[in-house]
Amino acid sequence: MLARENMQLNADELVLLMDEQIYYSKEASHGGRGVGGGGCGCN
Amino acid sequence: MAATRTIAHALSVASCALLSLSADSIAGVDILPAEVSVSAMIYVEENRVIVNEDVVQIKKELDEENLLTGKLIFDVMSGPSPSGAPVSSKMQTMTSPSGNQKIIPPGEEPTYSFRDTRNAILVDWESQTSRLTKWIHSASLSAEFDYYSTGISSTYSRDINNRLTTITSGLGLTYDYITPVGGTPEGLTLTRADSNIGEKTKYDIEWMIGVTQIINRHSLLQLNYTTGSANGYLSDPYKIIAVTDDVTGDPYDYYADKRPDSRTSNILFANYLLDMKGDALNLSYRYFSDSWKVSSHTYDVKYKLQLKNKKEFQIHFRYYDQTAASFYHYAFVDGAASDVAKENDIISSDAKGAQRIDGLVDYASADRRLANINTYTVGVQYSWQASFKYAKINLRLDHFRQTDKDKRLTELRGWVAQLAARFQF
Repeated sequence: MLARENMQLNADELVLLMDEQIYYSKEASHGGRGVGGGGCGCN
Repeated sequence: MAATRTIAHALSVASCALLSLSADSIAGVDILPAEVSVSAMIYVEENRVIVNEDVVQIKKELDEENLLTGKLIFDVMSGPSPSGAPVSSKMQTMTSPSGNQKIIPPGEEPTYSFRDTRNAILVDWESQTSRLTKWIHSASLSAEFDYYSTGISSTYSRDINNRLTTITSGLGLTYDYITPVGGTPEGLTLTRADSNIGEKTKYDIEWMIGVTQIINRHSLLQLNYTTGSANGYLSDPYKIIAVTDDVTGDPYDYYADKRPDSRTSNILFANYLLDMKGDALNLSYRYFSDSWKVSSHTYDVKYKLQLKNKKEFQIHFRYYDQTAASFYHYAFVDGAASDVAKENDIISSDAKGAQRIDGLVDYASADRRLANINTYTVGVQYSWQASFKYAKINLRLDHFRQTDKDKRLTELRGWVAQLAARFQF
């Protein structure tokens, strides 16, 4: 069961990537899932 | 500007190298199928910013132990962004970073319009160093017109307890180079003074340790702790804080944003996955706190229904709640006209009417992202498979509302639409 795609911690990784960037630019908190990733001067 | 050209050149070379991975051969290595994902996202705020972000991701197994993943990201951002100045009952005249004057009508939130592009490349190299151990090394480069970011990170993980438990630890470093349009204003100086302290830099270091536990055949739990430190220019060169009259409440002057030049943060993150007869429940919680006195709670719930013919439908709910940074102010209040001291009377005037701020406050920002806010998000996602190249296609739509708990800022409403597809070649 745990090998199924919908049971992976990083399922829909491009959705997670976009969400992290959106909320990074709108809120004061970010991170938690891991280290790394690109920075931005988000407005 | 030499650094700018170097980064742009490196980004260009790296992009070409990444795209060449989709070719049919790499010298001396047996070629396994590549996984290619593409995504197009549009992010729209009501009466504000619009962002279009496109991503191409290529995953390529170099051999049985090594997996290379590259992402190219292309953003176009435009629209009005809040300046930090409050709404006034009078007309306001503001100067944009590029030097253009803008008239803000009474009752309207002051914004400045911008347009920027961002090109980024992220590369991950995942190496299975033994049956139980794995390294992931990552590098990133990102270039905007006024902001450049480079980063590296390494994450090590080891399976223990008959592979039911995985211990993970990672270290990440980021270096950012900031060249604001119109120059970098000196913090807490009047914007009409037109100061410029030149190009700035920022460094980030993050360390993470985590454990992932398989609880039983149907569930697993991940717990992470991350601590980070950012140092350098952490202010926002485009944000301002207004001085308001304590009788009328109307702004009449503006100071440049100034934040501390260091920020340490601590994050606890938990992610629980539960198989429910084929459906998947995904719960996550994050606690964040930092040296700016921001603390936040983030709750995220996703329920993915497994439908017939490998179709999926997901419902998403997210709630975020944060406290304001210690130096956040809606605006400065000029107490000169009042005999009664107020909590926010942090501007005073001398006998000649000149404003005095030195020594009264060290840092100040009216950036709504540092305010006492919460955000609600609801969303849906539909996924299906197509016969072409084993394609899996995702379509999602999210809507969020961000509210000022002190009820002084206008509500921010945004929509996210994203179409993503993954192919095997």
